[in-house]
Amino acid sequence: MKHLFRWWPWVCLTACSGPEAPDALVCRDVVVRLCQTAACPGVSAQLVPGEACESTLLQRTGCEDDAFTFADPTRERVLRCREALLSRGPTTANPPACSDARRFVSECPDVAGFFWERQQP
Amino acid sequence: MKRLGGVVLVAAVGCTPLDVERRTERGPLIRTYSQEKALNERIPFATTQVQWPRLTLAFSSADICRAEEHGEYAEDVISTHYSRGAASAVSMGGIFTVLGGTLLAGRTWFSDSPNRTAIDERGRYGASSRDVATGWGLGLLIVGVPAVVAGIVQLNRSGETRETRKADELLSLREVPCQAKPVDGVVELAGGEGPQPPPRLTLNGALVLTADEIRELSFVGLALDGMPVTLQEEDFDRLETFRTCATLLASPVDPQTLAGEARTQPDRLRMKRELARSCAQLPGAPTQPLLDAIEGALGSTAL
Repeated sequence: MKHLFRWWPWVCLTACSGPEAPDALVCRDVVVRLCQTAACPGVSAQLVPGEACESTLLQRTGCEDDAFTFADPTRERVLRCREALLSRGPTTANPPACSDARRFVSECPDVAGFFWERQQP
Repeated sequence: MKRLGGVVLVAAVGCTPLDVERRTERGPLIRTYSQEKALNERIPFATTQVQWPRLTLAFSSADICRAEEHGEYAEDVISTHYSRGAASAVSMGGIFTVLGGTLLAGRTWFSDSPNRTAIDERGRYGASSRDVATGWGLGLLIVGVPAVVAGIVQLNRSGETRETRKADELLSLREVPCQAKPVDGVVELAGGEGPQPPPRLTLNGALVLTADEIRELSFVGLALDGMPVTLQEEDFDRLETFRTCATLLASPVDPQTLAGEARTQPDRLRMKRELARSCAQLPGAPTQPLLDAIEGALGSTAL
């Protein structure tokens, strides 16, 4: 309680956030981060570095559509796995480290499969 | 409610301790006073009185008193209260308060739309600029306002207080005879050459010695009932003068002898003249014939 009182301004500044982002935006955020690490060894041979990476993944996942919503995996699952890619901040201005991307693949094979290892029906 | 909050804030920060420097300044002398304290050590004293051809020794038993003379002064104790951090607290707190207040008052100037370039781990957009400004404004106010209040309270409590009190100083200390009472006893005249004179009894605290008696007695000190008797300096001088004059004035005045002495030993005769002059201070001492004869002898020699 004492620490909360002392650091209240900082807690407020970091805890305060805006409205919930739509599923399509969360999906595109993950796509951008994954493509930023496409060149990392051991991530996935299916990811092709460059502009084609994002368009391929967006098309494969369907989240280029603003009406996209997560079903399987769920939004919560994607968000939990996405945390591995946030070590350098909540914006995509700073690409994740290769180790973050490898952790994403190893800890969340189901979510990784959603993005590039299986075809959408 | 706001007033209550203000009172609580002032009370909370008003107890901040201040540094205090004290110095003492001596003021004017108010009065001097003496006090005497007996040491309960009674010893015999004697005073002398001369009425030629008699010397009276008056004996008394007196206590030793410690006579103290004191000075009472007015003394100012000046306490300077100050706080080194008060001014910086006011200035820093003021800056924080102004910044925080400006951010809060002007938060509508900032965009209310969320930061869409960032999505946090919970899947929410980043806070809007308005929320960030509000947070910083509140934070700065929370830090700044207590600092300003604490600084102002400390500055108001700073200053000098002056307290005047009495101070006592011992100016002098003497030990003198006091509470004297006449006392009778056996007086011994001791310490001289030859056989010791027989002891004598006092009468009404006094012993009277004539010039003829004292000329025959040889003694240095006095004792009363075996206790050494203390004489003040002037009494001792008077006793010695009386003894000298008892011998000097006993010889018949012979101008012939003096004239011869003036021729052979003029310095000795001049010394005798000085002694005769000192005898003149004793009441009733017949010094004039001797002084006239000495002056005559010395005058005739000069011619």
